[in-house]
Amino acid sequence: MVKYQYHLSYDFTVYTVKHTEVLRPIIPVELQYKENDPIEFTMLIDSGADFSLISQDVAASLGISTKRYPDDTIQGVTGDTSTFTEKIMIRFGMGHKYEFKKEIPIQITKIRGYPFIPALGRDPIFKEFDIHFRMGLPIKERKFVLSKLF
Amino acid sequence: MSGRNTMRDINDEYEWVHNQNLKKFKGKWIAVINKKIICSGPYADDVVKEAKKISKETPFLIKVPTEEYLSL
Repeated sequence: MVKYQYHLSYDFTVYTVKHTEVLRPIIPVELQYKENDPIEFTMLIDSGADFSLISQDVAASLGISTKRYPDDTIQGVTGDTSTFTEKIMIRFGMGHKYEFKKEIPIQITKIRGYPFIPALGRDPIFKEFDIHFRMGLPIKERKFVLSKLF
Repeated sequence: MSGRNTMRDINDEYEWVHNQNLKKFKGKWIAVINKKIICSGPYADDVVKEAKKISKETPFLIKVPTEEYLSL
């Protein structure tokens, strides 16, 4: 039986798109690049993404130079996008011992405004947490839960 | 600029933001400090620059969605 250090339970962010209810697993996080000022963002938990991904303007807001040449290409549903990768400190949770803080690799596009929202991909977050998307439960129980592995 | 000691505040702030009427900010970034939207714009770096002129506190940046389905 899997044992966990702690559980982080979040409500889905609920939107109405074309008269349809859409539930998005979005969490507030703090991002910090090196010793620069931290900035708080929301990130979409994206189980379809290999790594986390942010836009050029989000990277610039963290003080990352976006003038360097891309060193990789990612394939998405809208085509190929050039990226480069930086290690960025991420912090999220509920505080004290229920807080996750780690430097993770994040891919940065060369496009301002794409992706639309910063995306938290599988590596390494899905190695650190078991993530349960409980969308099918009654409204009050409809949460997504990040369970921290030892 | 100072970061928060606890992440609980940011979770509360996000809940507050999501309960606001954000129609006029669709597709834009908003900067929130102490449950107040202090500035907005199409790009995160520009919004952070503006927020830093207004406050020394860590801004919370949120992209307000448009009424489109999202697939990255």
